[in-house]
Amino acid sequence: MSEKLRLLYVDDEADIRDVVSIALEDEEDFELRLCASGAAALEMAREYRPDLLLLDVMMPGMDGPATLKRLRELPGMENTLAAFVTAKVQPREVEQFRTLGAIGVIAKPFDPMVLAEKVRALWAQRHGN
Amino acid sequence: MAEKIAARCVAYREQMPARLAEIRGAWDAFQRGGGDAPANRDALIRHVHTVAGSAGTFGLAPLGEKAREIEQLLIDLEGAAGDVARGAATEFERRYAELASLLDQAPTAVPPPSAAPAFGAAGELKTSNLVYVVEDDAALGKEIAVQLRAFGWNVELFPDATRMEDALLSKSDVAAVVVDMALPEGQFAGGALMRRVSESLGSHVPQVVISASWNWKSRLEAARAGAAAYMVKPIDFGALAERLDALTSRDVGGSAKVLIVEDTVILADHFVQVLAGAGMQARALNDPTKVLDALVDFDPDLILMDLYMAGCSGIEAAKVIRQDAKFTTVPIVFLSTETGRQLHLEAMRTGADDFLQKPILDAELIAAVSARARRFKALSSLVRQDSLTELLNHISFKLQLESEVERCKRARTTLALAMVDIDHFKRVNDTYGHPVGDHVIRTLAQLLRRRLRKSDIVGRYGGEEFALFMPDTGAAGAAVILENLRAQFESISLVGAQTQFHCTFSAGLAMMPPATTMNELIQAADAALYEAKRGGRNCVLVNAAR
Repeated sequence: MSEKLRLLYVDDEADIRDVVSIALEDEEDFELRLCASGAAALEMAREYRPDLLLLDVMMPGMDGPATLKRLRELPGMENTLAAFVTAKVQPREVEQFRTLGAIGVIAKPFDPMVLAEKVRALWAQRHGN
Repeated sequence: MAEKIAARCVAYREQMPARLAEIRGAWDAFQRGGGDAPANRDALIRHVHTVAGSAGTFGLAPLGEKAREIEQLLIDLEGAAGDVARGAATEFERRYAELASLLDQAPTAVPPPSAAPAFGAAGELKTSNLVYVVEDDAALGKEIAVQLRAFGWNVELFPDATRMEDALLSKSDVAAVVVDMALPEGQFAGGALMRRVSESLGSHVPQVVISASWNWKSRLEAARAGAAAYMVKPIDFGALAERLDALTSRDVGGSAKVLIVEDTVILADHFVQVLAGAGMQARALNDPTKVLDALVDFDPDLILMDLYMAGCSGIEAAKVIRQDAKFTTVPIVFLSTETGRQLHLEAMRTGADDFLQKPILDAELIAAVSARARRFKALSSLVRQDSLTELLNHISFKLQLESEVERCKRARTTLALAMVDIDHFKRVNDTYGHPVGDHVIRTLAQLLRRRLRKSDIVGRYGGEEFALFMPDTGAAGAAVILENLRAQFESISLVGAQTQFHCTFSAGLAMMPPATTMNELIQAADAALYEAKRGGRNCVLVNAAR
């Protein structure tokens, strides 16, 4: 992978955004942008063109699935890979997320020390190396 | 990265009580029924869900799991009525109580989830002094900004909610928010704004409501929106600054200081690193015969000492330390490979507080030292403080000054001492009453504390008299600092008997050298203060005598 993997992380909780940014900021192969809401993500995605979307599910206003649906409507983003970062990890729910087009789920609470690995694994599983 | 995360864990732990209170409040609203029941339920589930999803990341996994149980309970509760709903309410109360007790049991410094035990490094916590003020009355807004700036806050002013929220999108280091309850968007628009702000910034950012009215509805609205304080106009700016200070400061006292007396250099350095890594200030001393100088110089909250050292044993050194009245209470913890009961007893008799066995795990060392040092620090600050202003009291100020004078002589640097006295203070008391007089004193104390540098020390010297010293500072530099303080104090609007008024102070400044002793220095500063009073007050005079 010569180019950096462009990540867009959407979560309404400031503490989680904070920890995600610490966990991923030193990873040389990632570029990371953070958004606090689905609306902000829609705005940012237009020019940032992320490779992988990481979305919280339960957010006030537009929730994660709704955000993904709207992001997919943007030109050029029809096939952008997405994963949900969520505390809802019942098998039934995970299945539902997959039908929405998510390639996987990162369970909350996550361990910040291994978050980068999890993201890489998600990406590799879909793209090889 | 581990340290940064550890610091966030500490911060997260600190806001847990507020999060629990949010859950409680949402549950109560849901139980009361009425209003928008589905919205209340959603808000409740969202609060619980947030904790379920995040607590584990910040080292509080048991709380997260308990929150998840509650979340499941609430989801199952949908549409329930009658006995089922009542049963669920009992279940909720039980689980909520469990959640609260898990929080009580959780250590204040939380170890991060997987890494080796690391503790919050104090230096990592960023301290922003940015305050957002939302006030549609332009004149009042400007006044608030000016006044808070005088207390050292960095203020951004917004005329309405929309513009403030726009600005929030690009800033995340806001330390506190001040909101007028009535905004162009509506009579209670301030409350709605606060809710949105705490959703995007997190509930740990304190918000203060200002309002023209004292009425119950407005106060209730503010409380429901999570306001940390409610202030009625005319605004008492000193009180506002004080509230902001109290709401945003994490640990005013700073980190605990530990002196390590250990003649094996490599071990001493290792202990310094371990303790510094846990956010303490640690200093190593390899020569036990210099321990008294180090005590004066460093003023530790705890001494960690090796039992066997070349030159003198730890027990002997402890006896010497305890002979000095100033050091009879500082905790001494011994480190030794010795397991002999006899030696332990002897060490305890000299006033040792604990015995740690070498080799010792880093985590054990941190635990043994930090709890004791913190307790000592807290206790001694109670003894040292003036209760009205929380500044050093007369005696402890002089003790500090004394050791600073010694240090200054040894290091051949300069030391500036200023005596500050509020002008016509008796008139304030006579006109507005003693409570207002006390308030003026607190306002000046607050100003001095906020505007001075970390190394400067302030004490309440007498009734309306303050003393402060500035190490390694020349006369010109000290005079500039004092002159700025004088101008800032003069500009602060004080409130008494429904009117606003202003106070001033006079200050006398003296230097060492030329003063050679503490008493000379104090006399010189007093003389300059007397001249300043005689010269018309509201000014700063430097004692130029040689």
